[in-house]
Amino acid sequence: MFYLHMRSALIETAATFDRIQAAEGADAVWRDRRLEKLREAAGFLQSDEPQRARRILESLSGEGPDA
Amino acid sequence: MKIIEPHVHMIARTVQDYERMARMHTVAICEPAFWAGYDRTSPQAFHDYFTHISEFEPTRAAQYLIQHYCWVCINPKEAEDVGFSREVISFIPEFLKKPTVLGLGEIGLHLSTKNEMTIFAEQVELALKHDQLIWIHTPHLNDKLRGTKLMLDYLTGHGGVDPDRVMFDHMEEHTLPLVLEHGFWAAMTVYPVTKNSPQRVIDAIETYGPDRLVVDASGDWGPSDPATLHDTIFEMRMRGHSDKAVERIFYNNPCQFLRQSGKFRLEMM
Ligand SMILES: [Zn+2]
Repeated sequence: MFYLHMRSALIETAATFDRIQAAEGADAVWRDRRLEKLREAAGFLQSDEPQRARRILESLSGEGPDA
Repeated sequence: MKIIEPHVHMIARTVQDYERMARMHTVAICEPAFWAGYDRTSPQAFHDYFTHISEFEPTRAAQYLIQHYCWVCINPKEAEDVGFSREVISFIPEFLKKPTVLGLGEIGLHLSTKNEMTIFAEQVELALKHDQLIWIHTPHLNDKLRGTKLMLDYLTGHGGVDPDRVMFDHMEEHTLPLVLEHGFWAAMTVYPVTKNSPQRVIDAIETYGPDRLVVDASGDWGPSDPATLHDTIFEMRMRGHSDKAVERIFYNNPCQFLRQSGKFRLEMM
């Protein structure tokens, strides 16, 4: 069951990136710092190092209250 | 606004779901024949099942002013035993005569084996012989693409199948365009977890347009909820689509497809 939820979370996230890219005014949103940070954070999923959740949270820290 | 639910397995649901759907303006539902969560032990069990969905469920639905229709077939999850499947197929024609049976469904593939494909093909022939609509179940998860392509290749190569009378269900981003390109109808099924979400379904409508697209929910014996259909309607409205556009997807499109059966009693809006 873990697999199905992980698969689904990944596809939902990918679909959200597609939705943003297809929207009007996407260029400005695409360069939004928060989106850049999310794409960077996705890189942690590819590493074999443990504590991925902690490292993603740390990488998103200090981005301000709306981040 | 009136809503048509094209795919729900009410045999697995309580009357509370009829109440909820009625309150959310669902006026007609369709119940394709499928697996019951366990393998049936005799062909006679299918006879009972078809009787249940073609005679008893319509009376339960009628108490909530909902028209109940069904589809009959040997489903792909129980079609591996060819002899057993043929026994079930032998009494399908008697059910096709009933006033609420719309056609053959949900036929299709589960593991996409040779035997499943044999029974799929035989049921396509049965549908053509009796001039019936076809409702197709595509495999879930990582088998979906292969199974969908196998059935598409078979149907497009057949020569006698009118794609306008065939619905491919459980479509997702990777199979939807293939089915639409060949002129077939496509349904997307919404689930509360692990599969299509309301957001992804509306993304697909925005990407491919409303032609030959319908949406259904996932009322069955697993994690599912008929209200996910109404969540999807809300998502479409929240994105600013007009009432007309919403009505087209959730009422007129299924109505147009189902009326080809000659038995679906609702009118286009
Ligand atoms: Zn089903």
